[in-house]
Amino acid sequence: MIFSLLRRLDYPLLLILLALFGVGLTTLYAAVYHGDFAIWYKQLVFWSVGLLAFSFVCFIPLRVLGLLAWPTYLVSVLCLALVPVIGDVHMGARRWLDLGVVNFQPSELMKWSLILMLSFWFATREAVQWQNVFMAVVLAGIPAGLIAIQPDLGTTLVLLMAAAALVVAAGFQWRWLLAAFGASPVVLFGLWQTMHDYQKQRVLTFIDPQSDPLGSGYHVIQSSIAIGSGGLFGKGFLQGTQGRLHFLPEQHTDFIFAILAEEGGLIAISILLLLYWALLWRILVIASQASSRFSGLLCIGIASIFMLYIFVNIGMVSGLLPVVGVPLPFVSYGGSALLTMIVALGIVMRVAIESRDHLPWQRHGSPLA
Amino acid sequence: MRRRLETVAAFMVLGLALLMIRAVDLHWLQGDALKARADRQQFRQYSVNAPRGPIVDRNHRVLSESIEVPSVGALAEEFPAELLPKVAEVLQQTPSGLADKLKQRQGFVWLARQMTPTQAETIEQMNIPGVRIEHEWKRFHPLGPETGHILGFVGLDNHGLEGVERSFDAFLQGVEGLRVVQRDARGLALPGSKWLQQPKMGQELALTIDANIQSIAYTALANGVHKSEAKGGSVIVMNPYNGEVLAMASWPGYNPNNFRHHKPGQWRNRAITDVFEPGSAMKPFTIAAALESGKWHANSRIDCENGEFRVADYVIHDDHPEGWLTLTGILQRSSNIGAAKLALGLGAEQLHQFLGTLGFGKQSGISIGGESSGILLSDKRWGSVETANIAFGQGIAVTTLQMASAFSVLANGGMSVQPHIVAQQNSDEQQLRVIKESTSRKVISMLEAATSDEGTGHRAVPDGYRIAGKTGTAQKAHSGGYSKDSFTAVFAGMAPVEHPEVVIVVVVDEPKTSIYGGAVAAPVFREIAASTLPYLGIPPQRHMPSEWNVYQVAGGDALYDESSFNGLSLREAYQLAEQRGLALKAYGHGWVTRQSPKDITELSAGSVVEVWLNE
Repeated sequence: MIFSLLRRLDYPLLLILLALFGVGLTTLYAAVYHGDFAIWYKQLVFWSVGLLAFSFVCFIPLRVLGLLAWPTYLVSVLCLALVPVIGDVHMGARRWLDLGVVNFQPSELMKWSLILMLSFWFATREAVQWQNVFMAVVLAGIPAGLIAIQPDLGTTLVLLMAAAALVVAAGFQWRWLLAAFGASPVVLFGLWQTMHDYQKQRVLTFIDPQSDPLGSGYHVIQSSIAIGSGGLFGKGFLQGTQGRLHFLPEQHTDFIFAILAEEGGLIAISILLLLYWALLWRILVIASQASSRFSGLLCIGIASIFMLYIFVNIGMVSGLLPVVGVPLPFVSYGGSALLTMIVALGIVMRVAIESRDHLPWQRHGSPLA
Repeated sequence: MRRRLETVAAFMVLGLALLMIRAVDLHWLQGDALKARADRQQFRQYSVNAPRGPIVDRNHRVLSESIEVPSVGALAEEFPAELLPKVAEVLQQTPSGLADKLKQRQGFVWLARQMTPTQAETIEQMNIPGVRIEHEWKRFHPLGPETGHILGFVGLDNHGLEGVERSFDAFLQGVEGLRVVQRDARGLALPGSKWLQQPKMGQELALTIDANIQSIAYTALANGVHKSEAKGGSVIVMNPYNGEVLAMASWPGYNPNNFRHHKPGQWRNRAITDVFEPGSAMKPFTIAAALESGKWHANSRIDCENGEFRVADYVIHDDHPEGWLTLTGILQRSSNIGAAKLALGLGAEQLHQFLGTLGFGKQSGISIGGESSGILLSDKRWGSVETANIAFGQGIAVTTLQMASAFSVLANGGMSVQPHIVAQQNSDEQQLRVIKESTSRKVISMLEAATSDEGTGHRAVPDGYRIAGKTGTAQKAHSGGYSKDSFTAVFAGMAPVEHPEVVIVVVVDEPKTSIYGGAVAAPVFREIAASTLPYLGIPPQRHMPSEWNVYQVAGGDALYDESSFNGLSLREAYQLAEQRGLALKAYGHGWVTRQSPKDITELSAGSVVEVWLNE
């Protein structure tokens, strides 16, 4: 069985995962080199656990995942609902649940269970029917509302965008999307009215970072300096000054991209972005070859979340977007984010494996084709 | 459905492309600005004081030098509060005082500047976060109080605040070094800084001061002030030929290495900042003016009115009433009336002009800050009373330095001097003739007589030397008149008479045990001369030969020169004629008033001279 599994593995995806493993740990090495180096060893442990989990997930039939869609969705929503009641307040927002052993962020789990839920929902339904789309909006709207009141604007938006990507992939009409865009100013105004002051401040600082250089604009100014001063080839491995001199905040977590950019320059940025593109492209290829509509949508959802993470994180660090706490996939330090992302890749790998259950001449063709 | 997949893929490519464009934008379009910004916040340039140039005396002995001392500073927000009492103890400060310093502002603050190396080492070994030892330059004056007033002192910012250190600050200042240091987001400097520009030490400044003479003068002045229980005093020792100040001392003294522990009043260089009325010490200049005018000869006689002489509504008194005195007698007996009569005979304008050429009433330009110009009113404001008073040193105020340079003119044969204290300074100073050499020689002879056993200045004469000088005792002026119990005692003179090597002026302010210049200031002069002359290589003499063409005649109380019979009695005229080997024909009685030929200096032995007495 192992042998046949190995034969059906998608080796390009594995290769990309190993490349990300290398780039991620190398960058983190530079980020923590002048600080708390124990972090690097912890991340190495997380990677090891993650790769084990990856191998394990490869054996779970997609059928089982489909059966798990409703339960995980409901449990996630329940956890989210519990947060305002028993959650820990951290930095002015109530986002965490104390599980005794580890603190756990239900919103983190929610993204993935929503993707699973919506993929399952649209596996047998077309998004051209109103009632189907309406149900999807309800499925996404409940957790989005719960996360928004925590408050966690960034995650809310990521959640909604991923859901939107899935709805589009499931057959949503273009003109409706355009109509939604037309309605967005009204929605944005409503959103602004419900936002907390610190969120408004973030948006304002995003529009003009120099207005508050030592406050919320400080992060973005310092990361822009790090990226801009790196040049084409960078300052060299471990030679970055912005990080070493502690000008960069959160340099091993959300702002780690600045370390890579400063020390590796434009070359390193290009390599990382190409690597990310290879990852997304491979997931989409696997989606196109998926053996079922459910597994194809699942891949698109996973790719969308990766894409959103990448775009929001790098956009934030380079000053294109407001500051929201989103990790850089496979590079930022953080156990739960890394584990969930590796597990998600494991699911993609399972999709690839199942698409090759049949010999080429027996294949019916992709259900998405 | 494949199209939908492609749509999603297209969005993703678009997103990644957008990120790439932003990265290129930050690198290429904003790269330079951001790099500059990175440098600006990551590097701090700071200037480092250069050591000041040393100040040396005429023999290259160091009078002032910069030494490296540690100072301790801290990053206020990082200083651990629990260590406050311990650090305060090492730095010898109160914990609350130290805490105040740390509260002053954020970032780097000085805790203690210019500590001892032991203190610095203790602090360094404590290894306190945020605390660091910096090296600074401290000015050290090896002679301490002795040169304190001349040199002044240097503040913590390495700039001279007083004296030569201040006046020549730009010269002594080196070129500041520029150091660049990498610092982190908290402003903490990282170890390992590099020089952009090395600091350059300042230039060496050589003074005309002789450290040994300075010590002699300072010690003698201190002794004199203590013995007479005076308020203060000042001394100048000057080379009369070129105006070089060999010593300049003031009392009370202060230690410039520790100047903050002294009152600012003690920093004052009294020798140039304080003015006093010179009293009788002014008379030699009145006599010199009289001789220069040609109206009087050394042996011209003046009626001193037996001690009481009315000028306008004012009566001038002499302490020792006299009848007729020669000019020498006036100086020797210190007759106010005689001096006043000469001044009135000269007229205000001529006396004022003469005193002006000697340097009274204006700054000498010695190039130390704070020099006073003294007080010499315009002659248009001199009535007869003022003119008469100035003749014996009242109604005029001078500095010790002005007195020294005016006496130098008398001592050097009549040439002007530019007093200076910086060796490089006298370059192309042109010396002008102020008085005739013969006048200078006559006044010196008279001043020697004033230090004879009968003169007021006999206490100024060191064993084995002949000196010339004049005492002065003046009531101190205060608002609305003269004080009855505060006096200035002065002695100004030169030594040795044969060829004056030094002019020494001693001023003692408000002496208590005695008020007289002869009793208070003259011994200080003697103490200085007795040590300075041998040091300058002038040995004392057992027998004192007279090199000057002066003759001690008729009871030894008057001195005459050989150029004229005018003013002599008949007996004195015959003695002089015999001395010169001249044949004398005299007509009349009393004193000689006319002679023929007018100039007898060139006459050979056997020539005939005719004189008319009381014509």
